[in-house]
Amino acid sequence: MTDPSVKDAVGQSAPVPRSSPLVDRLRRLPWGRIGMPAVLIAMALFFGTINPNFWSVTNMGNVARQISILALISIGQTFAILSAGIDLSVGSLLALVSVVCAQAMLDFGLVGGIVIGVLAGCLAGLFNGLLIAKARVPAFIATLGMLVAARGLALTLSGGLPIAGLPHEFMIIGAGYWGLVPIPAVIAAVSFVVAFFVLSRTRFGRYIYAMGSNEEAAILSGINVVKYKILVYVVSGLFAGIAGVVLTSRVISGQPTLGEVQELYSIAAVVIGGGKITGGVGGIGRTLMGVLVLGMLSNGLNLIQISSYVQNIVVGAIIVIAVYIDLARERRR
Amino acid sequence: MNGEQSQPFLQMRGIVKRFPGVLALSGVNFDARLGEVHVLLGENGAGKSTLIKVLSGVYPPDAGEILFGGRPVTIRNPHDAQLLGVSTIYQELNLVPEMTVAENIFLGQEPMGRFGTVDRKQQVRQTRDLLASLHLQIDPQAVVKRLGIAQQQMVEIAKALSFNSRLIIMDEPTAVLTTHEIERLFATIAELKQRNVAIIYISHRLDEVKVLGDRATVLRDGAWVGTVPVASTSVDQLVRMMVGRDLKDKFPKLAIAPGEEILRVENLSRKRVLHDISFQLRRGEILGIAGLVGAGRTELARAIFGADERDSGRITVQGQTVDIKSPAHAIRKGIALLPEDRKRHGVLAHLSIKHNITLSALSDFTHSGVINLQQEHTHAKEYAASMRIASPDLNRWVYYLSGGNQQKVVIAKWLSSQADIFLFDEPTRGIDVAAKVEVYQLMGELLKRGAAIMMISSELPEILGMSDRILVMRGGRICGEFTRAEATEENILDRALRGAPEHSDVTNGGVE
Amino acid sequence: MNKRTVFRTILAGIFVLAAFAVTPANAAPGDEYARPAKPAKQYTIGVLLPMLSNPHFVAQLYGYIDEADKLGAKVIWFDAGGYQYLDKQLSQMEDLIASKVDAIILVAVNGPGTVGAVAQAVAAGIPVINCNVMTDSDKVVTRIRSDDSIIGQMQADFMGQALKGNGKVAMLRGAPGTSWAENRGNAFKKTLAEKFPHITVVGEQYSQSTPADGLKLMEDFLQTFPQLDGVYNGADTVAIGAAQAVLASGKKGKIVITTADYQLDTEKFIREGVINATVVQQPGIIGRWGMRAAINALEKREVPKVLWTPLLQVTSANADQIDMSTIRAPAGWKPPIR
Repeated sequence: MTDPSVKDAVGQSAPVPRSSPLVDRLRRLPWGRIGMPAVLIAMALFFGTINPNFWSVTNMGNVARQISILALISIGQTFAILSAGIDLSVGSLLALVSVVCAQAMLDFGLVGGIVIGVLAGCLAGLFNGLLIAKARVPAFIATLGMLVAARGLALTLSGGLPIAGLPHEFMIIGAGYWGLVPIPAVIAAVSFVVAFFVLSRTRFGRYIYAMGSNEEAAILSGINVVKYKILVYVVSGLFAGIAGVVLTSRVISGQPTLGEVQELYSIAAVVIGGGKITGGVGGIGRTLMGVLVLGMLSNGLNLIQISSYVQNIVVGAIIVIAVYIDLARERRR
Repeated sequence: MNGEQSQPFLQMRGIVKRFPGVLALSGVNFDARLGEVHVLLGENGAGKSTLIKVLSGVYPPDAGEILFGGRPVTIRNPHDAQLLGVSTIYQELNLVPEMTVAENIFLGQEPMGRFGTVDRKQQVRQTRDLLASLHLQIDPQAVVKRLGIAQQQMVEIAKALSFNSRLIIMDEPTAVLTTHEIERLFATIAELKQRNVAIIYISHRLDEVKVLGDRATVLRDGAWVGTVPVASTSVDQLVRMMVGRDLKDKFPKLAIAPGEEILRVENLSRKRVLHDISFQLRRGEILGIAGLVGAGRTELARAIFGADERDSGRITVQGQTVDIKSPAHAIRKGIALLPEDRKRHGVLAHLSIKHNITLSALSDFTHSGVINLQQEHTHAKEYAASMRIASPDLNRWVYYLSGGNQQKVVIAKWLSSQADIFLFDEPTRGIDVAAKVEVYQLMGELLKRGAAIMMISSELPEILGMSDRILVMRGGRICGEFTRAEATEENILDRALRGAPEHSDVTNGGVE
Repeated sequence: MNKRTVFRTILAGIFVLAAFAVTPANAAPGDEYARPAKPAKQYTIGVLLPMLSNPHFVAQLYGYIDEADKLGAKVIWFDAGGYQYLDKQLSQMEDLIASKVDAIILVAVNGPGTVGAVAQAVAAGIPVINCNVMTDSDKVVTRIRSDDSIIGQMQADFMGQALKGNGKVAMLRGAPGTSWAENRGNAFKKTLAEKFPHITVVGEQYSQSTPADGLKLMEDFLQTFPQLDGVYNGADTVAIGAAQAVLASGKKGKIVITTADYQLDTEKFIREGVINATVVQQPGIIGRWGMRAAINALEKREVPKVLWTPLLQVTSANADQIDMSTIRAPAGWKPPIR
């Protein structure tokens, strides 16, 4: 056993060093609010300087279009993670919805295909929700199972081959513009606004935060946790459904191989934006920041011709750094 | 007895600590002598926890100096503090539940045998000696999670001693102990004093302070108010120092004539936990539930609230029989439960104060699913003010509030939920004197509104001071009932310890 | 056989002969579509590949890059990482368009899925040359590839003769949704049905184009069909896995394995007799012709709508006589990673 005598006292007492006024001022800035936008602006300046094509309307439109899918599924993922759960199946659901939507479109026409596609997403979400809320299977496991099963189902229904022959009008959703803005971006933007409203101003949204923060306390506060959990996963499935339909339009065919790895990027977007993986902390605005970071990174690195292998390394590093910074700030409070 | 040092073992001078938006400590002086119990007093948010955390290396001070035996030191982290001989025993015990007593005590300082493996026999032997020296009857090989809370606390004290600590800090150690166990704790503390250990003791229970303390230091709003010898200072004087004013009435009890019956519980049972519980509750009355830890009081409240299942029994609310299946259901019927373990079951740490307060009453300001933020804010502000929750900003996360303030938030949540039947489980645990009074006053307000309160409490003065009727539980059964007039500390304790006369373990000499 | 197939076979045969016998000493392989004069302007050409983990595409990329060098052009290239990453390839295409490249050479990961992106490029005034794996879009300037149906047919011919017209074969077709997997496999089956009716295809599966996938599928086939006599492989990445499975089960020499393409491991297996025959595309030529077509299109010269690149059949018998310069990238060459 140690026998510390006062003679072994550690160090001399010294006055706490005063940092320079500039550092102090920098430290006092509300990094929580301006951190992410600052990073985005810095990135944009960096890429734009190296390749001015970055700023072109075409490219901005491209970025918007390219991140719309990720943005949509990240909305659903935000709901899931906020409630202290997670949805690993969203990537595979993109494929399932694509196949179902395409086949339904061939059988029942344009509108029928779209509606059935979105419904397929909701149904899968409902299944997830029941497993998690009623059967009490941990969200990680339940959605992991759905990840594998949905992909398998997509491959089975389509025989592994793409489903082509969709009506050309369908392309509007994925490739069209509303003024200067690509339609997928419009869909994503509207979805963000709606989701923001739900999370910040409705009872449903408040209950999600409560469940994520402390589920037991939420139950004892009278929240019907079972019902709302199911709803959370239906919402996630809904957005996967919308994203799946948009993606199918973009590739104008039903493709059972879509969406691989996308669920991980949606989780990354939520986390980079500052959401806690344990739930109760985060929000739609934050997720949006995360999506923008990922999208701008991928596009920018492409434009300055960095290979996609290196891109992956960069994204991985950013995920860890972003979370680390967040934790460091919290520890200091 | 006071230590014989010419110079205090520990001196803290001019300690300043700032957090964003809050000056937690503004130049506090504190010293501790070996062989004395120095009590640290103050309302919630006064800075006691912060001072302790500075001392044990959790926070670095922004200004001021700390001296051990006259030499200035810098404590950068808990390890430094440990090397200096400082140990802290927090309310939330720091033991590993799955490990044994011996493993816990020697965690991080295991005796090593040959081949670099842990010498388990040695570990157990040393633990046995250590526990024996404290007159503790605990098996060194018992798994910690099977020990009662009081015993776990003893293990923590033993662990502190195993580090040869010269200074032991105890934060509200008696909050979870029964009277019997408190006596044992005091005996252990006396033993520690004999060994010339300095003890810093934080508690809200002023009666204990009078029994245990040699000196007391009072903090108020982060500032040092004074350090006094306990023997020659009255409780009222201490309270005045803490609060800055006189507290006239410790238990403000309103005289309210009880109204109609609002809750009736009949033959409530839950296998192995509750046996055949029956009682009624009327509007305007406070029913105190007394008993030892483990008597089943919390389980009773949870069963009524629908948080736990029941096997049998009937619950009638306002004349109608109800089959409560879930807390949400209970709340709809007008029942509210304030849980015993605030941190785990009451507080939503990453939500704001405002959101916590309004959580159970959201439906009141929700129209077709959308929350009226303005109404919510007004409502929350009102209740936060009435509970004197110390935070300038209602949007701050509850996570950042002191323990006592967190409890006030939880109470505010229930008070704002328009319930009629309140099940309070240890409502003033960990709350300072002034706030306790506020809670009692609020209880009075509720009663005036026609509500009824079932109050579980382990603090006998509180039970005696506030209840209209008192039920005593033991082993999952009701074993005694007293009116306000009949009840005394002795007869309640007697029932709590020994149960109903027919079930008493002691054979009476005569008949009856 | 219909007229079209006859015509194509003869064409292929001519190319084969040309490659082997009649080439004058100082004519380079691939001269059938000659290199144009170096243009005055430095063009920037975008190249989109499905994956770089297949040496076939590495050789092709070498062709693009080396040819661009000789024609004074700059190359910006991307690979999608696999046939399943359709979205990635679309994004890469869009990024090329935004970077205002002069022309795009597309090796599509998916037939129908790339139609929209090609339309976008053409609408932005960027001509698209489609090489090797076809897009369904009809807006491309030209289609340059080996004739997949010949590949399938040649494999069927070899298989039929090796099995003496009788036996059970399995098919590892390759990546679903790609023109090569479709066309080669269909041609194989058609030729079998027409010329060798007593050979039955007992099973066929698609998979991603990697040895791991081939290995797994072959192991499963060996379990399900203990009497397997032959295996058709759409591409050699899959065949390598299949060969490993055959070796591991001790059936070397008992199962006839045919495939297409000719990476290092395939050559090893050919020489050891584990893989019996492969129909070799010349990716280097595909690359060079792709780049030449792009420059010609940009210089406003006429470009043929279809260009068939020559094929070779390789077995252990003629492995030593193959000119590797158009089949593999030079030893030690690595694609320039930015």
